[in-house]
Amino acid sequence: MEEQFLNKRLDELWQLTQDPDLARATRRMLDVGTDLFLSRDLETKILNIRKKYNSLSEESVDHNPDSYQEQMNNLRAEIELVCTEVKEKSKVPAQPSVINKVMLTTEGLGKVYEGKGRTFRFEPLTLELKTGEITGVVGENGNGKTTLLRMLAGDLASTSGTINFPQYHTNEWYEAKQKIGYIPQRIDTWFGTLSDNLKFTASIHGIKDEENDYAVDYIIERLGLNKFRDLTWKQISGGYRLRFELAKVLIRKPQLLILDEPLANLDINAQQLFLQDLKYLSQSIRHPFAVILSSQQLHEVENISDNLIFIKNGNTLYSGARRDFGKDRSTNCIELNGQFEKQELIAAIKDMEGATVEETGTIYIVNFAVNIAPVELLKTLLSKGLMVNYYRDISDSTRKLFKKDM
Amino acid sequence: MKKNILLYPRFLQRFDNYLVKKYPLMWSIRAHYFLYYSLLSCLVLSALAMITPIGMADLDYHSHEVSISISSILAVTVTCFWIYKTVIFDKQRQFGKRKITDEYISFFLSYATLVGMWFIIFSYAGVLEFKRSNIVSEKELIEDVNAANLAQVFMLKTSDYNHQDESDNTSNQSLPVYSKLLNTDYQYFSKHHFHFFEYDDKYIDGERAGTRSGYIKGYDSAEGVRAKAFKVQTKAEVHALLNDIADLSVKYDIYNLENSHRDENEYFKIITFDDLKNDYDNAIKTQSSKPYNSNAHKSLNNETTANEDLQDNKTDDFDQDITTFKRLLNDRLSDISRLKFSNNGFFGNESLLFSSYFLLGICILLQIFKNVRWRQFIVLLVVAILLPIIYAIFGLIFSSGIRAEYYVKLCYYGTFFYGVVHLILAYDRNEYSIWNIVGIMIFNIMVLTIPVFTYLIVTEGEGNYYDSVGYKENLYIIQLIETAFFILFMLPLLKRVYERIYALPRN
Repeated sequence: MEEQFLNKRLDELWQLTQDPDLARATRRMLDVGTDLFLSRDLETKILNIRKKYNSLSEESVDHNPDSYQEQMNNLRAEIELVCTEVKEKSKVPAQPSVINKVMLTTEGLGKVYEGKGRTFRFEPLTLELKTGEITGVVGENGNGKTTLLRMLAGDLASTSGTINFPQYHTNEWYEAKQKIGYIPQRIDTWFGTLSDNLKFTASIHGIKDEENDYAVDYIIERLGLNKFRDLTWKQISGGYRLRFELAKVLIRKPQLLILDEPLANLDINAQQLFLQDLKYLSQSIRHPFAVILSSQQLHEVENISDNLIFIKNGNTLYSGARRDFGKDRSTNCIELNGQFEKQELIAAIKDMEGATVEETGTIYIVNFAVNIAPVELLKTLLSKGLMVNYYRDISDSTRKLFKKDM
Repeated sequence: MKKNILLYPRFLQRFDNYLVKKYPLMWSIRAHYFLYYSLLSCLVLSALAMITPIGMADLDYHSHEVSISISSILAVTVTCFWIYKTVIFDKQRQFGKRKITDEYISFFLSYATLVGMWFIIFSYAGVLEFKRSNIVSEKELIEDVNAANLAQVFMLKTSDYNHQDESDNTSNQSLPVYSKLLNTDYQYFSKHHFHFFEYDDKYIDGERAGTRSGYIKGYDSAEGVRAKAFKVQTKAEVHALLNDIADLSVKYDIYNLENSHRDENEYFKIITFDDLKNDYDNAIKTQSSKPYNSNAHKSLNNETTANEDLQDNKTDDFDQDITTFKRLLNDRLSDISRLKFSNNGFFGNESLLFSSYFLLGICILLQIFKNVRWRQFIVLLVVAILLPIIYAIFGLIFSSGIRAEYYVKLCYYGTFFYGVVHLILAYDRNEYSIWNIVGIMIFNIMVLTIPVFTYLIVTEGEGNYYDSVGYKENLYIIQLIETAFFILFMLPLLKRVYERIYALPRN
């Protein structure tokens, strides 16, 4: 089994080295290096390859394309060489099965805010978070997402229910928080340089001496923060501040990562990269962790999540596996818009079984019978000469829970 | 990043790197950097102090207040920089593996760093103090004191600052001694005259004795010191004597301050050497002086005889001058003794105690800062600024009728902490309202005034708590009540700190 795992990882790496850009390959190499319990020498070799790539990518390709390409090819050869060495020297992963360990459970976790003229109730929720899994929390603004995450992070006391950490056999928050990484919606200002902060964070969480040096280098290179190493809070953008926060949390190897709206300040590419990193890192063999994150970027979150929680007015409308959502639905649901009016749309689909149309801003949501394939709607619209600009099947997405009538 | 080699020397950078990886808590306090900066500053200031010329005119401690103020500004600047770099950094520590003992270590290391930084002030002043204290050698001082012993025999029963119209018994027999002192080879005597002071028992009448029992004690001590003065022979005895004098001098100063109705211009009138010389010349012209030596030594062994002689030989023209002269000598003796043997002034026990409490206060504030949120801390600072103003007003109201300063101060601390805690908690609960603030203020005023009125009752409106019957018994009860209140006030804050340290969720 262990050999199978090793080969799988190396194959994946081999595939990635065939990409023209070695960004993913060098990132995954670092992950593999961590997972395979390599010697420090070999780990350092891998780290140096990533460093080389990062410094190369900072140079302009246009400046001297031939030289750049040559250096990339050299790097590729170096990766292949190291892969061979890894195959020879790597030890088997000690406990590949640590993935899917239950990290946190809640039972009837609830919160009541008594305010002047308004009382908000977060209704009791029972939940289970496992390592290697990502749980997405979605819902409208002011419905309780942050309340839930803050309670899980131990930042906010719950009114009812309990939170347990089965792995630690303790209910002491102090102990638990050593293993929880929480990045709030509004990141606190940090002082000093990025590398100083990382060294301090690692050190204060018990990663000392040479291990500290390696851990800081590793996380900086892994998250592509090398050129920001000596910069301070004021000198980097909002997106990189978040990546730094992630670095600061990950360096202490948490077993539960709680992220409140992490995608809010990121551009679309950075979002994809961030989520991909999250997926890779959370499924590390050596240091897997559970992730729970809230976001308004519904589709991105749904794409990456293993579990979903949908909250509306403090009530949990859905909590379960992503793949199970909408499994028992009675209708299919399509989100679309195009160069036509609502009346034209209604007229075009009037013959479809159970078809209804809702308008939400510039978007239409069309529901129809579950026995009709989603693609049939598109065919129908095109056959009627309607120009469709945007078309998305949300039959198994929590998007449809955002509808007004829900 | 290229760093300034003086501010960030290599060895310090290496040590910094070592600390961050090995002892992050110590690193986060940045004691190493700031103690290094303090050491640099101290060396520079000490060197400056070494080359600063000082003369006899600089014997007065106050002549260096400006330079001390400048040193203080430097110390405050370094402290502010430290707070900015250190405490704010520690604010985002994110629950590392810290034990409860780490909080104590953090506190004491912060305190040590602060003390180190504030030593910048002492370095300059300290070197100057050392230089000034060595202007006059110990041998000279011993001789001077013994000379003063001789002189004081001729000045018995005369040093009444306020009752110059009363019997200010001075004899023309004192003139030779006066002359000797004026013409002495010891430089500082020629500029700052010397006198071993004492109190006139006639002044301490019944009325004042009742309200100024501290003064009576001072008088008793003065008598004791005077008795010792006649026996001074060794260096150790001089030390002991001058320390006694310094103690007396403090009491005497307090007394003088309390009598602020006196004409300050008169009191602080400086008589120069030339003035005294002229006075002396005039006195010689108008009066015939008796031989000095025989009478002086006779008086030294027979005080009564000397007094009788003095009573018989009044010289009115000379009285005024002698009185002022003795007053100045008092001050000089006090200055010299302070410089030579005692750590008064900036190094005085009270100053050091005050400085310690001040730095301790800063440390406590910083610890609170670490454990509360930014806005809470700003509220705390506002309260810290506002409350003393209120207290000052109350202090002013009650100061004329009652002297319960220490207990009022205790109330200040109690109410201050109560106000802080209450506002922090109120902030947390989103309960800020004008009524809340008013409520806090009313409570503060109550806490402040209750003990004051209690004192008034205890002292039957006399305000004389020293001599009141049963004062001590009542005092213990009041102290107990106040301590209980204080602990009660502190509990919520301690709870908050506890919650923060143990990372407990907040409501």
